Amino acid sequence: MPALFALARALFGKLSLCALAGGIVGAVAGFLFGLVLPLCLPSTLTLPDVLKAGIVLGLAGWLLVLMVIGMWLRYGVAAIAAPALVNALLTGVLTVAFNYLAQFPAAATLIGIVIGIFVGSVLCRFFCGRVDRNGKADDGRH
Amino acid sequence: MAATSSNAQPCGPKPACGPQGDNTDDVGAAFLALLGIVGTVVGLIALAIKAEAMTVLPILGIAGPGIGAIGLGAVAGAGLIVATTFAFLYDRCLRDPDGREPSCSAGVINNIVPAFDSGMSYLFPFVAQHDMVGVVVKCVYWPLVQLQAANVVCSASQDQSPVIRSYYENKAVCAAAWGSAIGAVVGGIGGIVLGILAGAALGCAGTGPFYIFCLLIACLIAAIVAAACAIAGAFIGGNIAHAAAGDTSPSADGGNVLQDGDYVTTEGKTIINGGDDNARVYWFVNHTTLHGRSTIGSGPFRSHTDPDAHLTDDACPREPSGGPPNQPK
Repeated sequence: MPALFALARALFGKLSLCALAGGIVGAVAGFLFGLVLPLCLPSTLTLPDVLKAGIVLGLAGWLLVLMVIGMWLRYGVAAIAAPALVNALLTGVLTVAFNYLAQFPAAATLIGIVIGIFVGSVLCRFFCGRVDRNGKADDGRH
Repeated sequence: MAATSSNAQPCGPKPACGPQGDNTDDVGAAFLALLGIVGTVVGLIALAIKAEAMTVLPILGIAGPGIGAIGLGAVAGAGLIVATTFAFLYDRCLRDPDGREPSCSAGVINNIVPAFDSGMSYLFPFVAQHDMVGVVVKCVYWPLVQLQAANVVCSASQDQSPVIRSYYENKAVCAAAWGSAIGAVVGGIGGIVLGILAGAALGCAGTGPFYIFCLLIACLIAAIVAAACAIAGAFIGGNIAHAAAGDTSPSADGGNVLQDGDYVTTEGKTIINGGDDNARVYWFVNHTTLHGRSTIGSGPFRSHTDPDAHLTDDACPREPSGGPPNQPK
């Protein structure tokens, strides 16, 4: 466990909250799509299929983000729900699309994480304000 | 411990409040790392055994198209929750943080957050944090608050006075974390079986996009059911352990329970804590000296001017000359 925390701090210790949320969604979408990816020959899915799969997986990832970041890490579900939804849908669709094009199931989760962090970072830079835990920086929640 | 002379030194420059740059919560970063590790390992296993093409699970004997993929989805869902409960357990109770500094500071209590302060701590007992007492420190202790810190927490007063978060070890937190981790393992094992059954119940068959979608949903359902069972196990185990361990409140050395507005001197080890956006915090407070109660203002709006003026003699050791308090280098 110390090694896990050290690795996590080194890789993800300086992420913004949006990037963390994006990474979680990307990992979920990438992992689940990776399980069925071997069935997807390059011509099996159409663009609407990719969109649908991305939206479904993005929504699943969004629910996980609400639980993990909103509840467990105490940033508040209401504070993050709307921006996280946009982040999740974009990440979900892009993760499915990139993995479908890459056809490399072993790396599907990692591809999703990279895409999610990128999408989250871009969204955070341009559209999000800072979200503090429970909406306030000074109430001492942890 | 020797106390103390008057500290009539003028205040130095006030530290800037808030985080300097982005800092990810340690457990949040660990969760993302766990997702990456679990997802990649299970994905590699799926590839190796051609899970998407399996029709019978060797161990459980459950049959159905794509049952291998569904099974691995369930394993990943349960495994992620189990690993997460252990990550919280490690963060709260097992870690031995680097750079612990013996420290002492004094001020007025700005706010207190009990370990089990909300329904969330009961619904997900593994996330409960130790009792936290936020102390608006006298300005002579500002160097401690900003020592190697990437974040300075401040009160909601107009002058935004620096606060040092002071954690008091609460054995019920660790009991709940252990109970949750054990409960998650038990619940997760049952959840894997239930998740596979739930996913297989969709009865996906055929080829083409419809089959792929159906299998995707089946994997998702299996993962959610398995994770939900692991969380249910963590809920039961954590609350049983919490109830058995009892609960405590942060108190001073004489046994008085600390309250908002108390003037206190706190001693213990301080660390830079990822869970507080890399602020310097006490982890944990070993000794607390109570000096009376403030009659000015209320939490969380307290100002350093209050303890500066009314807590002239605190219990921190000082340089022989009567200079500033001893602090780690």
